[in-house]
Amino acid sequence: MVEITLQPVQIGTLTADTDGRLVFADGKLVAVLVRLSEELHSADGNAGQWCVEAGFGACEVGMLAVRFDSLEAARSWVADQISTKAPAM
Amino acid sequence: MVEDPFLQKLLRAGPLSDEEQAALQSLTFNRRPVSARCDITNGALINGGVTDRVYLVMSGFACRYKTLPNGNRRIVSFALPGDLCYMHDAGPFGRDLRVGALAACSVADLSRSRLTELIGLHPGISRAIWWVTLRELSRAREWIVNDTRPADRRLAHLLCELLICLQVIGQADDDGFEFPVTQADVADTLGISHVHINRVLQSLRTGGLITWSHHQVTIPDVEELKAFAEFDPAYLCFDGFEPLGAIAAPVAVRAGP
Repeated sequence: MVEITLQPVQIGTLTADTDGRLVFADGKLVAVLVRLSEELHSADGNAGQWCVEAGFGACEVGMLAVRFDSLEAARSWVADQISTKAPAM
Repeated sequence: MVEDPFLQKLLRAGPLSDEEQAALQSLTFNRRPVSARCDITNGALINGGVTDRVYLVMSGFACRYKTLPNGNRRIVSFALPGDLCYMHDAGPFGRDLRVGALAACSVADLSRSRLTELIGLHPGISRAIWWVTLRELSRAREWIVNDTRPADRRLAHLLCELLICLQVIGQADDDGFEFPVTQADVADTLGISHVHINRVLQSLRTGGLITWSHHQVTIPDVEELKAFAEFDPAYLCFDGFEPLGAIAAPVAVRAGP
């Protein structure tokens, strides 16, 4: 079972979207999450959600805006991506 | 001043005789409204349907797009008033690309076989349609290159292009234009996420480069935006073809030693 850990981080997006989390899977950085700010995203109804700002390897998302209502939901998604896309060892 | 956006645009390729202009205007029939968020085809086109129709956007704002199996849509070009759609897509190779109205449009149908006939009969029309083709290719190349720019410059470049293209058909002011699309449409055009577009827009706004509200884009300093976007309008080919005299005569190449 892969161990997912979240580490708070500030992201310099030059906007109000600064609250972030580094997501590690067994100690390796696999994604950067950002919390969507009220200032920029309330009009879309997305404020407060967590969005995959960057993903690596199994968590790469391309131009998709992958969003979650909670950090727990994001954590589950990462675990799922890692377990389904990890190369066989 | 020619009112028809189709003719306004084609005249950029070079002169068209009165007879040629009349022939082009006689091509359109069945002018019909298309609601926003609907495809402009009239049903027969998709899924391999053979069609003799070419579509001409007369007013509104449309786009050519493709949707991936995961639901992602990529807009690959806009179709503005005076633009033909599906002109070269009689074969199966164009069937995956769709054309949809982003805002309400008025669309006229043309007969492909009649258009082909006119191209054969009139050198001016032949040159104009050839120009349309080359122009589309030129713009597609520029969009590919534009994808390598950071998202804020990419958006600035797109807005510069729209400003020039809409000015040509008299649908933009010196410093702005009506832009009746959503932020999600722009994100799908630039190839960035629907979240990222919010930040990109804010960056251009706070930089004082643009405002965009109530479907109106205003550019306080057009030259500044063009410089920021690295925008050179030459790729839009609005100066027509080079005069024949400008094409260098072939130079005899001497065989090497």
